[in-house]
Amino acid sequence: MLRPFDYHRPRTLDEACALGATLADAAYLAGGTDLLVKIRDGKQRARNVIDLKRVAGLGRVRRDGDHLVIGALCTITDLLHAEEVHAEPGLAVLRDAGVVFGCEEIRHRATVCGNVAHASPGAEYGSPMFVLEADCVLHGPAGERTIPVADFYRGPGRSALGPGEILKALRVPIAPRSARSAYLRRSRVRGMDLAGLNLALLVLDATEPARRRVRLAMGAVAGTPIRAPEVEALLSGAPITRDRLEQAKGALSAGISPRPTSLRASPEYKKAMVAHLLEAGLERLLEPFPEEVMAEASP
Amino acid sequence: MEQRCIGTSVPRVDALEKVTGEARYVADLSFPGMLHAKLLRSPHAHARIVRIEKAAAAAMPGVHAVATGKDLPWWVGECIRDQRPMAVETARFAGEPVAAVVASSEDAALAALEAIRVDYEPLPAVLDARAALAPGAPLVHPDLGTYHVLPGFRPSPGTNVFHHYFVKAGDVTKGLARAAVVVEQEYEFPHLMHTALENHGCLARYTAGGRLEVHAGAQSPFTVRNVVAEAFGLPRHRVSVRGGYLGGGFGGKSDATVEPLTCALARLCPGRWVRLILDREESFVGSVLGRGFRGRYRYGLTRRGRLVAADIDLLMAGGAYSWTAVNILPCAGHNGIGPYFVPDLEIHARGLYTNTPPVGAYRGYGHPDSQFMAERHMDLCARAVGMDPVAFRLKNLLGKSGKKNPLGQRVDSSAGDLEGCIKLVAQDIGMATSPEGIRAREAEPSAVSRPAVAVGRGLACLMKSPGQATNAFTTVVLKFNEDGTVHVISAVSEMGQGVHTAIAQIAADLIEIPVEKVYVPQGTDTDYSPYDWQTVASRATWMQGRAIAAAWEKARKELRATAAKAFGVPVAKVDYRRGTLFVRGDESRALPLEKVCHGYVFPDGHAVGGPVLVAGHYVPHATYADEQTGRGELATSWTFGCQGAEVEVDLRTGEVTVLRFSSAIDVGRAVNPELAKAQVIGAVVFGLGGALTETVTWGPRGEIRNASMTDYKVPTPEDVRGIDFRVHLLETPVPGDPVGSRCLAEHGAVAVAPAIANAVADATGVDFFDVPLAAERVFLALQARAAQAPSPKPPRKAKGAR
Ligand SMILES: Cc1cc2nc3c(=O)[nH]c(=O)nc-3n(C[C@H](O)[C@H](O)[C@H](O)COP(=O)(O)OP(=O)(O)OC[C@H]3O[C@@H](n4cnc5c(N)ncnc54)[C@H](O)[C@@H]3O)c2cc1C
Repeated sequence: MLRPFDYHRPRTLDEACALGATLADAAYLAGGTDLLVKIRDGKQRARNVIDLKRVAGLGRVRRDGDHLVIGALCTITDLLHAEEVHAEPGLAVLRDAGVVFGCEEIRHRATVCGNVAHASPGAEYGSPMFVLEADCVLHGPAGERTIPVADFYRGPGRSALGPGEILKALRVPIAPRSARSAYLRRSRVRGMDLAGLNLALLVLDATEPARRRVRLAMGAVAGTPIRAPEVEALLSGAPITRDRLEQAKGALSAGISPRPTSLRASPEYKKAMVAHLLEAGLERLLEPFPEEVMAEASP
Repeated sequence: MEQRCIGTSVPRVDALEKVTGEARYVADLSFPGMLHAKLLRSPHAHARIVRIEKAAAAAMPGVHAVATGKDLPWWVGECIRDQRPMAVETARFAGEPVAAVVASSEDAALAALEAIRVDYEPLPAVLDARAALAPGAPLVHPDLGTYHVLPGFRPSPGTNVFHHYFVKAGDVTKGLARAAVVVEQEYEFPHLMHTALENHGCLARYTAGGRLEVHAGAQSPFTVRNVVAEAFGLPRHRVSVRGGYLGGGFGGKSDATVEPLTCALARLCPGRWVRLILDREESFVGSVLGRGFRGRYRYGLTRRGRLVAADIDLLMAGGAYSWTAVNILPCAGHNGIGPYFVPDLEIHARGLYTNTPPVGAYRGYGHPDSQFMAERHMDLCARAVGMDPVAFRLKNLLGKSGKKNPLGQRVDSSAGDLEGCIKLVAQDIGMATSPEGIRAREAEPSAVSRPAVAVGRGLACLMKSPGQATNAFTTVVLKFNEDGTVHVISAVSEMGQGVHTAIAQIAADLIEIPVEKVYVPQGTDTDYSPYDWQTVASRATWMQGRAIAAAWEKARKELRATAAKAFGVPVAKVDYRRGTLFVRGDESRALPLEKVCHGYVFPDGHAVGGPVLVAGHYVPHATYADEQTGRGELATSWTFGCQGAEVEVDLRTGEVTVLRFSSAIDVGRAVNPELAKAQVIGAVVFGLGGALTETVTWGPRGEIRNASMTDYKVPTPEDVRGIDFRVHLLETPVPGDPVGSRCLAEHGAVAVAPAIANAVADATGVDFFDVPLAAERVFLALQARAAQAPSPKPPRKAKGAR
């Protein structure tokens, strides 16, 4: 049952930050799809709930030069309606994640920033933001600061947000059109479910093996989303032959040690499935795949 | 009677009310001065309650009563009275209520709960059936010998066995010794949760005059009345239970669960309504669970594939209290071989107390539990003798030959055309017919190279009889109105299955009036409604049909008597057809129904006869099991059928995709074919949950780890919309029955799990002996097999592998 709390509806960012910094047991509310569940389950004690939806200037989603700026009030549905997410192959990873996110009702409520702010290791937008190397714009009582998303995540449910700080926006660099990206996950049912594990892929200069850079991040395999730099190196700068793919898959599986208590997937299954998702993702992004032919053709 | 409305798909009578939100459920009810109850539950599977400190909670604002088990000194239970409304001295499962607060608001009640302190002394717990059976196992009920037990049930004091059903025919030892081939295997069907859309709830009030009034979200208002009346020692007429629409039951609301406790709490606050509504997470521990069966199957066969002996041992982990789990055992037992003839057999089904939440009725009531095992075993046996699974089943079929089932009942072709069902299903899924040319899908060009998948097919037969008390009466009242319309009043609960629509159709045809002239009032009130035992066991349409026929016989007699007076002729000369009473041989002398059914008024104003109000009842002939053989009239109606699946297994992830699911069931007569088909598909989807994704996940201390919709995975529309569902309703007439319908409701869920598991085995060569076949489990099994055989044969029928 939902425990009673006081509800605040500030109009400006500073007002919101001030409330957040001073009120006892305060929590910001965007879509409320994580917060209200936690309050109901008794997992979060919130005596003061500060609604961000009326705060001026928090914005939804817009393009700013070669960045996509995802404001604190941008819902999953808003993101799915953003032109860039469909036109830019490097942002397809955001679309893929949105499509499998919750259900229609949840997508209308839930925000992308709330998803990241919640810092859940398996949440849909963790690993995509890691491969996109997004920046988090934080607004607090002491002003504004910008940090890389990788520094934002501190552990399961823990983030770099200080007292009163608000995740004002996510700034996502838009990769050149030669990039490709994808998001894949395993869940127990096809309908609404939380991911057992997920994998985001961004391939820069996708069609030129020699220049190609592969970035990948996984969710729900550690306390935060994680990149796999060695595997990225293995897959970058040369054609991805079956041998290299198998090597990469092996390294990816070996490199993770998920906790054994998850109800959604066992460590054994996660280890096997990250490898599978990697192959399925590359298969989706590269043509032909694997690239034996290219390997033969190169000097 | 001419069937005009029966057999047509008239729209549901409750559709408008439900889609407009007008329909009200128990949680919608509110009364002035109503109080709210909240429960504190034991975190331990088994513990002595050392001390409960409740004074602080009692002093909190808005709190009317704080109760512990000791304050509610009554006994409840349907077959074995083994439970208190709340734990007294010992908590027997994690989640058992140990204290309750009744307060002016839910918030106040919750706040007070937090102020209650309970000291426990944990005791050794038994968490599964085998542990419960082991010699020296901790006893869940050391006082079992002192409990009140209904006839027909056999608890064994000094053990955890609360009932042992067995049935014997021939000599199984000799039969097995003679068999050329013996196939033995263990199986398991773990615990499941119903997850009805509507959670459990109850409102109760103890009136100043000493009556108990109850609003229950119950499948069986009369059973609730009887359980609470007996618990409190109240005469039946001092208890009234009202039931309305249910947001799904699936068996989970057929037992009295939250009702006795709510009533007990209401006794502490006389004059006030006390409301207890469980939330989703509580429903997992605060109502009943389903299934929880293990079984060991040992069959003897001839080399040519004839079954000669069956030795079956079933164990149910029944939870801490027996409820009607007791009754599941005979159903699981005598149905445990499926619709096949075996001359020498012995089947044992034992129910064990365990320190887990109680098990109760769950769509299928024992039948899917043991038939999962039986139908998996049939495939194993077919393989052992090198026979095709369809041919093997047809060879051993019970029906056609008129042979005897385990109960000793002769089953012949009038019981249904099972062979026809099997053939239809086999054809649908491409078994036994030519394997090529089945799948246009295979020819479809795929844009991306397809992941490695394996396709397989499997089928399983089903049979089901209603599992009910020997005196499980149903009653109906026909109340004729001034204009010739009719109220058909019955206490069966409309929980989404469409029974009120079927009742209206049957009444319309029997009375020979248009269905628009029939009204089936929604809701039951034990003060006014005619008795019905329970809306369970797929029985309501079948039983009500016969009761309506009996009632109509009486009504007709009364109408003819009144008309005879009006016509001035002997009764024998009056006949009735299609809403008209007439003098036989002189049909110009006729009166419409409405001129007679509320008495006849002569031209001078004087009246004869009266408003017609009649009751009809029905109960089939049933007996207890014979003490020596376990045989007897335990099954009073049979429905047979077959289900089959074509599945695709993704070898890279283990994911099982159902491509096609076919069901063929001999229903006798489909009263409303569209509703019947919807019922079958709904049941199949329900069954797919248990077969593929649903299971209660236990923690090491007997706690349910996935007691929420987040982690108890029920299939969603996304999971089933791609499935090609086929439903065949066969209609072999039921001899001597006015309506001709057989039981149909749970049946669509009975053979789903074995059909899927048989299909997965066909696709991958990996045998599963339990469910669910979740992607992860399938994948790990495939891997384990690959590790065993260093150079495995490629899976049968693999395609697209690179
Ligand atoms: C039925 C259901 C299905 C779901 N399915 C999925 C799914 O498929 N995938 C998935 O990833 N998640 C899923 N979720 C979880 C949830 O919907 C998402 O995490 C969502 O993105 C959270 O966003 P919100 O706006 O609702 O956050 P809120 O609940 O409003 O907030 C979440 C947390 O972040 C804080 N917060 C929110 N916004 C800010 C901000 N701008 N600055 C600082 N702190 C902030 C809040 O205080 C709170 O602690 C599901 C939830 C439900 C109830």
